Amino acid sequence: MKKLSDIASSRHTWAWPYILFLVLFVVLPLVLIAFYAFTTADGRFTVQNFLKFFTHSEAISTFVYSVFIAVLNTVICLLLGYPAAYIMANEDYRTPKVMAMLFILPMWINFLLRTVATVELFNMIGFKLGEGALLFGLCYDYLPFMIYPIYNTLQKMDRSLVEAAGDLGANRAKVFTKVILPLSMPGVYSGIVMVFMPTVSTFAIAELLTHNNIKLFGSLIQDYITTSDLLNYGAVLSLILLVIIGITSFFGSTEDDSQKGGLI
Amino acid sequence: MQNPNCPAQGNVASQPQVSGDYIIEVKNVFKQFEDGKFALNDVSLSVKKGEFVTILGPSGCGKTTLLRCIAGFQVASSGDILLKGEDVTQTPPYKRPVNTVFQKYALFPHLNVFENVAFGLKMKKVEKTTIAKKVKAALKMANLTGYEDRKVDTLSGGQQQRVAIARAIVNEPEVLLLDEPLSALDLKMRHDMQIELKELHDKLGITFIYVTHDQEEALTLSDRVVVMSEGEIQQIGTPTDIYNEPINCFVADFIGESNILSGTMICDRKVRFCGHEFDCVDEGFGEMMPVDVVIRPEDIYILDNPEKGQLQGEVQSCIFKGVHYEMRVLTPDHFEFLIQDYHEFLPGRKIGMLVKPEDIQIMKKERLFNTFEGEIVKNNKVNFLEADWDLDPEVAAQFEPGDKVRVEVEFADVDLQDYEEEGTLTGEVHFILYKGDHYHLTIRTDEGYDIHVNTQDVWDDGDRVGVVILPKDIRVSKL
Amino acid sequence: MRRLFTLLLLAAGMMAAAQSNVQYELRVMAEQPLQILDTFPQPYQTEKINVTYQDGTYQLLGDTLAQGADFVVAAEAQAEWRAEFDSIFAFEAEGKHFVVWQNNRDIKNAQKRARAGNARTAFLTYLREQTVAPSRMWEYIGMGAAALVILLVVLYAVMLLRRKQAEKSMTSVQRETLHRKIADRRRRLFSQTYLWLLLLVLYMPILLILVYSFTESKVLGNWTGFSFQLYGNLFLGKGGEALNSAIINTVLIALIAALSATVLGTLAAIGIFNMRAKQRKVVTFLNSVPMINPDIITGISLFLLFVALHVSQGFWTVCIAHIVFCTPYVVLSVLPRLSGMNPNTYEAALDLGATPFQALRKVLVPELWPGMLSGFVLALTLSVDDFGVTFFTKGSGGLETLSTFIYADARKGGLTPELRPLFSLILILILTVLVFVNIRADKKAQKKA
Repeated sequence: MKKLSDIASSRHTWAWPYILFLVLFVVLPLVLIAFYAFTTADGRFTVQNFLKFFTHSEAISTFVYSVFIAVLNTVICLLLGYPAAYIMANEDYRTPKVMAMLFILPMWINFLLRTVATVELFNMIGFKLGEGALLFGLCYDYLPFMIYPIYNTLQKMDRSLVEAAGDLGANRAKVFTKVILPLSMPGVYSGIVMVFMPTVSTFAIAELLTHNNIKLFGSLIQDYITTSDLLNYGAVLSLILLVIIGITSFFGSTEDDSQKGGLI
Repeated sequence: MQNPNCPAQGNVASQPQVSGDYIIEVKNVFKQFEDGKFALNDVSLSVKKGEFVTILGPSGCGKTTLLRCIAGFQVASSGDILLKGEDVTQTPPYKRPVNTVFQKYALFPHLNVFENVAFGLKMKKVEKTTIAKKVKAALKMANLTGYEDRKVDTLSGGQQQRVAIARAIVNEPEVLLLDEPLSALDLKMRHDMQIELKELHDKLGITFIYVTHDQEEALTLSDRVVVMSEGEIQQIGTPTDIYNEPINCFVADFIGESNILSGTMICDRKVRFCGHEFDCVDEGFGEMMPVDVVIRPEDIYILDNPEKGQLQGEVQSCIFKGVHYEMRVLTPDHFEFLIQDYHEFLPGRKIGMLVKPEDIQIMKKERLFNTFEGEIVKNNKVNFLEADWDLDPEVAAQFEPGDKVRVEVEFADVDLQDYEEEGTLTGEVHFILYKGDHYHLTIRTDEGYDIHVNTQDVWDDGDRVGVVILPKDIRVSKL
Repeated sequence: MRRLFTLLLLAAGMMAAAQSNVQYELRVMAEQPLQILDTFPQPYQTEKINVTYQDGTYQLLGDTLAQGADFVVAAEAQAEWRAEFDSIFAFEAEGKHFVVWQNNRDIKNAQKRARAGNARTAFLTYLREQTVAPSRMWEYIGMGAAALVILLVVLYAVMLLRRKQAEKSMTSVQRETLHRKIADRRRRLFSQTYLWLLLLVLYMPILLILVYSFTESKVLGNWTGFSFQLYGNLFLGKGGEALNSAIINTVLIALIAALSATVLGTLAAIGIFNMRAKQRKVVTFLNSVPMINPDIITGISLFLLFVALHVSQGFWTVCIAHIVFCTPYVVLSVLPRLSGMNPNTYEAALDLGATPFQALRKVLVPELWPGMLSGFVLALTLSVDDFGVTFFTKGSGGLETLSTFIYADARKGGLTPELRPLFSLILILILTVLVFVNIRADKKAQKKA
């Protein structure tokens, strides 16, 4: 007779189909990136692809520029987003509840369409497409991703902490720097991750916002991957991007309950 | 089996039948969790038809695991569980003729009262009109008539409890399992429900197995009490047996309040503790045997004249407890007694104390000192409890590294440190027993071993400690 | 922030100036009958090219734009003069005046006006609508803003004076309270202004789409009068075959992906919830990988998988890819419901005789329903929104979803006008849903309190 197991522990088998699915469609494909990166087009092992990257000045400069743009965009989003999140979460300012929702709403509009609309807006007011437009467009696309996690942590924060700090003699500025800011850091971290990662890997937005004048790393990868005989080199570039993503998400892993999961 | 529609006549069911037909038999059941811990350690228990059995113990003692094994939610690692003589160890819960009342009711929040109660019958595909009739009867029995259409989350805790009970009994189970059903209710409600439960048991005549950590509840409700600790059954008996004749310190301490003291059995019917010889009624412990003595606080009589008492003392504190006063009395030898009396004796007053021979309960000591198995290692050290301890060089010289030895440490020679890192090994205070003039602690080490300690210091359950034993206090002998 | 606002005002002024220049240049038009040519001079676009004459008849110039362009270029080569404004240019050749409209949809208006009488008047009227109205619009906006600023300054000055007056007759305590109150109010005003300005900038492009969904103009920024034409076109499927199939594909893929993700994710969540801590950690980590991975990585990795397995990519590979990045969100929506649930309810169902499947259907699913629903909706929106993953897994079989359609469209330099009403509708739908959900949540919270 088949040995029965505990009710609770037997139910973990319900996750097996999904685990199998994850292995086949998440783990295996990621392994394949590494595999393609280390092989030639006819399947032999090589490190030539990597050597090519380090001597490929266009790729390296694009890479550095992309990281720079991503960092810049993250900083801009943080500078614009933190005050907004703070104002919305702080009851003193009596921000209408609907405001937080309005900030999230643009996320539901197709980002390409938003980008195209931004381009049209720039055309209308005669703003030249280029680096400025790119930064504006990126910031516009990802600002909600910065505001939301910070707003979430700030809102969940126990208000009595602020009152306690006030009670213990801290003035407004001190309350902010000594209590609110340190406690909101998890939200800031996850905001940074949620803005930095998509920015560094973006590919279509840059093309549209700069009339294809500025190339970001994502577009470079796209070019190589879609050209079938350069697929292995594209895999190398993807792998490098993956490493960057891995490092970033490692730093951001302190907080993960402010993910998009709870948006509705 | 009884139909809830026609309550059993009289009180037949509440008296355990003498005949040998057990409805539930638990035979040598072990339950080991995946982390290697034993939740049940060789548990055997037989329950007669119609009995009200309570499984009592502190949290984490395995009582709920035992209940869940009977219900079928957990499966014993080894051993058998028999229901009406039939092995059900491997039967899934939905095929067992038992029903459970859960601790937090576990009502289906999306169904109303009627649908909740009807759930089990619907699963059995009982005819609709029959369901309506039976649910009505069950609700009536649980005093819930008229609540059929209410949503369960609009009900009070007590009402939800009644729905949970109705939902279980409507299926006419052979055995009703109750997992701390009253723990979520407030005190007043709990008392009312206790009475209702007892009445329900009498009416239905089915077997109740009731899990609780509340000793008062256990003593009030049950025909028999099963006291559990650390996955093992400590004692099974009627409430009076358990209270008056606890089998060990754990039971004595857990059930009711008690003064537990170390003493010596001088000979049959004579025991010595607190520097005084007492008459008692126990026999068969041998001569000059170390024993534990239990005296209930209400069994100590206070005399105005200190000279007339067997022991003298000074009242330290006096608290009014409603019916009686509770006093702490300190003897000149620094033994502390807890005494309950209807009269008030103010702090500072000198009194005499008297105990009747039949109120002294003697228990054999489980151990006199710590004993471990160890091995001599290099550098004058001995390894036991998965740690290396320094030995007296002179003692160590008598052994070779690799020698297997027996290690003995007196309870009082184990030092506990506030700062874990100062200890040779670390652990947690696991069990505390006050023995009149000192505390007897059990320290559970991080590796899962127990060390017993006598100390004057006050520790709390769960405190992290470092354990230190001086080289001179470690006795080793060759195995 | 203030600087950005100034920038916007400046930009408005500049534009008005630029447009009046163009207007001026058009005065060289001769008083001769006009020939109106309607075409769409954007590269790579295939459309029938017509000439519309003054009497309202058409002449087919050719099937392709190239042929039409050839015609125009040949005529333009002999032009004695030419004028250009925005999407319209005009020239005179062989004694005939040509006016080239970029906008297909303007034919009817032009036709109407041509029939009405003087074609030149018609053209000028049209141009006035195009140029004068917008430039005036910006002028008005600029003037309005200036007036508002002046009004605010005056009001503030008056308020300041009155307060000074009032303070004279106050005790120091009263004054302090007043000052604190004013400081609070000022802080609030400042912060709310910041939020609203930020929102305004965030919503400008979206508002642009919304506003221009009510005009027929082919290009954004070119207002040709209020009309529901685009909405009509969208519903009648007149936006073009490609757009229609993109919409259908998007909806189908989103439904398939969201449904599969909900089933798979709910079961997985139940499984994960019942795992031991260590196991659970591993699986939750695996689950978070598709969420952490940027679109491009998910897309490329799946692309490589399909290439390695020699699977031809198309509708179903896109579906699988969407399930990959949607399911984690379902898992994360369902898990909190599980931990909020009484752990014994499932056991209670078994205890009452339900088989595991019955317990799932009758007890677990009803309890997890809200989490499943929000997971489903989230998956739906994520799927509709996705571009990166779809782009790499759609293969070369010509499959387009809305996102890839927009991308292809934008690359060509234009945006199919029917997308504007489509996304305006989506925006309004989402807004309604969100407002509804929020109101309900608020009510629930109030009830609890």
